[in-house]
Order: sequence, then C-alpha cells, then structure tokens
Amino acid sequence: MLYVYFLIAVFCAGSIFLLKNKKIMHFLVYGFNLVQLLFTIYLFRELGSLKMAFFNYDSISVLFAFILAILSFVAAVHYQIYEDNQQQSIRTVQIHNAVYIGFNVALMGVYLSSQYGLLWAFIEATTLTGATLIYHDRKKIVLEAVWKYVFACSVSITLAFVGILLLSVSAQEVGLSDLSFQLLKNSALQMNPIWLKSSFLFILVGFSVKMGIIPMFNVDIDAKDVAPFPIGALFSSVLLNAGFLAVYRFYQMFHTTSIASWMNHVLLISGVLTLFFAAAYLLKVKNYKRMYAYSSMEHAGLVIIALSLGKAGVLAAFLHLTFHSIVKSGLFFQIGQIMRLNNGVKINITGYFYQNPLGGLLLLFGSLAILGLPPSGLFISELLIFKSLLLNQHWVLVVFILLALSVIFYILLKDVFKLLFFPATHKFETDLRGTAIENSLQMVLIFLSIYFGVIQNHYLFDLIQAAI
Amino acid sequence: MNALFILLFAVSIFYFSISVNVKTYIHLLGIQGVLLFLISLNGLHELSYVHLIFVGLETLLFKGIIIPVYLLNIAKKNKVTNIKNFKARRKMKGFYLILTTTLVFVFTIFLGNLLKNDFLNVKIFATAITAVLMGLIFIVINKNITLHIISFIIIENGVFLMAIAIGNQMPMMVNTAILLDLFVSVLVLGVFFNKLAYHFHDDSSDILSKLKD
Repeated sequence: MLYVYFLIAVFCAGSIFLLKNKKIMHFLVYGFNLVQLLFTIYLFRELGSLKMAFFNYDSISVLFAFILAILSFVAAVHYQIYEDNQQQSIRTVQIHNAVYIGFNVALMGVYLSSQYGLLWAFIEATTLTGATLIYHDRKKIVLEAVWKYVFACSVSITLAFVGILLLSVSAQEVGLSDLSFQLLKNSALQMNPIWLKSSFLFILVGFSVKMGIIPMFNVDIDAKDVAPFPIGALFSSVLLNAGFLAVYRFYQMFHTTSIASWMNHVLLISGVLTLFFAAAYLLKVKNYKRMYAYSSMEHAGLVIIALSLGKAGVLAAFLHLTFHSIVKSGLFFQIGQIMRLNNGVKINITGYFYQNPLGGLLLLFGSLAILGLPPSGLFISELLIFKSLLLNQHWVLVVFILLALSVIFYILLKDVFKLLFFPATHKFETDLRGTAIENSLQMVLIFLSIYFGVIQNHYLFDLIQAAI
Repeated sequence: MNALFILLFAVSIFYFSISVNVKTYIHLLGIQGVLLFLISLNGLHELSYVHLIFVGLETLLFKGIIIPVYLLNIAKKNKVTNIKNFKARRKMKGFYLILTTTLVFVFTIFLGNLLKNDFLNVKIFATAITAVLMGLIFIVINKNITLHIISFIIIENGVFLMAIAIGNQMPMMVNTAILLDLFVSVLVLGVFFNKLAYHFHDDSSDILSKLKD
C-alpha cells in the first residue's frame, strides 16, 4: 500500500508537469490529498499488524500522518485561492503543485521511517522541496530568505548526519549493522554513553532548524515570513512535527539508559532558552506573520520542555503538537486574508474587524486558542506541562517560564487587539474578503481545537498513550 | 599508504588556514576530492565492486572535478580572487587561524584516543572532526558568500571521511553521505547560489540583511 501511495504521488506530480490547465493541476493535488487521507486511514486500521521494510510505523506516526493529510488538503484549497488572486503563471503553479506533493511524501516518509538513516534522508528531502515552495514569488527578499534557509538547513542537516555517524559507531560496538529504531532500542543499555551523548547533541542541533528551536531558529522564522501563507502554515505545523519526531525517536530509544537524565537536562535548557528568545524577539516584531512564526517557536520550546519531563510530559508534548498544528495553521490561513485586504501584514495595520468581521472573529478566537486560554485544547496540554514541571519540583523554572509566557501573552494580545479593533487607517476592498470555503475550513480548525479541549477524545489519547 | 593520504588531507586543512587566494581554496577542494577517492579505495575493501565504482565516481568526478570547476567559474564571474581585496574582511588573522586549527587538531586527536574502540580509526576520526569544526569556523569568520560555500564543502568532505571510517560495516552510511553531496551540489550550488550570484552583484553576506525584525 505504501508503494501504491508513492506511485500515485509520482504519477500526480509527473502529470502536473505535463498539464497546461491550472484547474486540472489543482484537481490532481486534491486527488493526491484524498489518497493520502485514505492511506492514513489504512495505516490506522492496520496499526500493529502491518510490517514493511524500512517503514515500521507506530501510533505517533499515524497521528502525525492524520494531521498532515487534513492540513495539506486545507492548505491546497487556500493555495488555489492565493494563486488565483495573484494571477500566477502556469509555470509557477506547475512547479508549486508538483513540489507540494513531493513535500507531502517527504513528510510522510519522516513519520513512517523505522531507520535513522532513512528518516534523515526524508528530512533532507523536506529541505529540497520546502525551499522550492518558499521560492514561490521570485522576489529578491524571497531569494534572501531561501538562500539563508537552504544554507542553514544544509549545515544543520550535515551536523545531524554527524550525529547519526557517531550513533552508528556506537551501534557497531554492540554488533548492529543497521540503525533501525527497534534494534537500537533493544541494544540501548549496552551502548557507550559517551558516543550516545555526543550523537544526541549533534542530532538536537541538526534538527533544531526544522523545529525552529535554539540554536538554528532564525532561518525558519524568515522562511515562514516570506513563503506563501499556506506554506507558512505547513512549516508551522507538519514540518515542526517532523523535526520534533526526529529528535523524539532518539529520545524514545535511549530514555531508559544512563544518559536519560542528561538528555532531559539538555532538552530543558534548550526549551527554556527557546522560550526566552521567542519572548525577546516578539518584543520587536514588525509584522503579523513573523509574530505568529515566533509564537510557533514559543510552542516548540514548550514541547521540548515537556519532552524532558518524563512520561506525563511526553503525553503533554504530543497533545500540544496536535492542537498547535490545528490552531496555528488556521491562524496562518487567516493571515492570508489580512494580506489580501491590506496588501501586507505590517504591524501598523488596524481595523481588521471592521473590514472583515467573520475573519476578525476567527483571528480573535484563534489567537485566544493559541495563547492557551480555555476552552482551547492547548490549555489542557499546557496544564499538563505545568503539572509535570511542578511534580518534578522545577519551582524556579515554573516562575521563569510563566514570566516568558506572560510577556508573549501580553504582546500577542496587544497586537491582535490593535489589528482588530483600532480604527482603520485606510480604505479597503470588501470584495477581497474571505470566501465561504476559506472561512468554513478555518472555522473547522478552530472548532476542532476547542472540541478537543472540552471533550476528551479517546482515539487521540489512545494513539498517544500507545506510543509512549 | 592510507595513513599518508589521511595526513595529506589533514595538511590541506592547515593550508586552508594560511592561504588567502580563492583559487587556491578551490584547488584544495579538488585535491581533497582526489584524496577521499584514494582513502576510500584503500579503506572500503570489503565493499562490492559496484559500490566502489559508485563511491569512486562520487569522489573523483564530483568532488575532484565537477564542484571545483563550477566554483572556479562562479569565482571568475563574480571576480572573487584574493580575500585581501574583499569588502567584507575576514574576522580572524591567518596566524590565529592556524593556531586555532592546531588546537582543534590536538583536541580531536585527544578525543579520538579517549573514545577509541575496535571499529574506529582514530586518525580518520580526528581528521574528519577537524574538517567539520574548521569548516564551521571558516563560515563564522568569513562574510563572503563564495567562501561560505567553500567552507561548507570542507564540512561535507569531513563528513564523507567519517562515513568512510565506518563504511565497511555500514555501507548504507556511505550511500547516505553520497546523497548529501548530491543534494548540496544540485540545490545549494546549482540552483540557489547561481540565482544569488545573478541577482546580488556584491559578494558579501551583508547584502543579505533585508529580512530582520
């Protein structure tokens, strides 16, 4: 079935290059999205029984694949509206749509890989396809962002590869000839801790570029800023999840060894620093897209902190990633409407609620949800993170984290209220407001986050519990 | 014999530190490519012939010829010749750079001996890690985009050398390292660096500062 999925992806992407009609190109992307959703349902039904060479997935893979299948479809719908408004050339849409399918396949590969080398190769493929997706508008400023992204990603991914090489030296010592997660986990206790520690450092630094955490977060922010907003939405959600999974796989294999406590300390330091940098950068942010990009960085920091807190923290981390993906992508899609109405997303734009009342409401609810206010699902996951922090007796850290979150809360809410309710400073075209399909899809995403916050969905909890 | 090639590879890293000519840098990259070919020919004796041919093509053709020729053309087109003529000067003088290289080498030899095991060739490991670390230092101290690319290829060569060190037991790692090279050559050099060279005529990384908060 996996190979059928790959073949359909190749067929759809290849056909797009032969077509001249934009509508059929978009239709092929929707068709691929449908296949992707069906494939994910198949993975869910066969969970635990399906054995594939190199792709032995678990329930976390299925959860992330579901998020990818849904958000990819919503992003494809928004992209069609985006390119229609921009009147992009057939060639641009052709490249975008074909590469878009490739980007999806690369992410699916990251989620399903059962070997570190393969996972790394798929992460590399997300850079290759992601850079092409960012370079959509062919402007000088976009080229600058793409160059920085490609260069930093290349260096980071190379460092991650050094980490994998160090891991393989350690694996050879215990007689392993490949880096499959299961084999490594089985032999984890016999492996040399020094090799494992150095490998973890390289892997964390290397994949930090995909998660948008310390130290390689800058280029990720720039990429989200200049990319078309549907791509920014995917970078803030499904790509962030992929980066996290790459780090989590290492953690999952070695959290029972003697390096567990050391790994937790490193993760905690990395998460807290990320949170503080996000708060500091938000103080001087000048456009709404960057503001939400820094908000993603804040949540990535929280997730890394959660991972360092043991089993309860891991549950919180996956819940947080799920809710964050849904809400943040909804917000990025709404940012697209603001851009369309105001020809930009600079922080001095005001009166959006009067321009577009429904869009304004969605932005307001989405922003409140992303800040973790009840009844958002993020409230539950943040509550779990703080509970774990307190149970682990990190009192001082709780104070510092709350301080950073308060700063972020204040800045985000202040800027969103200014954008929505301050009097408008310029005239606007009402016919550029969001279409019914755009608004409904965004509404569904925001509603989903609230639904998960109010009702404890046992499918979601069972999926996460099964993996940790 | 292999020890000699590894030693020459290490010397090439020192040569990067003292040289100021971009052409020399690119020639050194070519030499490193050939040395990697010779090291892999001697080191990867347990691999199949098909695999070895693949590694040979990658090192000799790609690293030894295609990448240096491409970079020479770019340097010629952008009139990048001697780093003393750059608008954006290097942040570290040659003497301190060679001192840093020596210290890094001593550190990696010490580290290699500390981590020594039956599967690790300390000489290759120390040289590879030195290349990776020095590549990173070169990126940090230089503001020129062409030099950033050259520094990145030094890191790449270091990683490839490391992959060779464990290649007999894990040929998959060598394959992946080759994949990394192809990716970098096609995407970084082939597509975006070319576009950057076309759109921005100044070669300093200062021109890439429009995107900020």
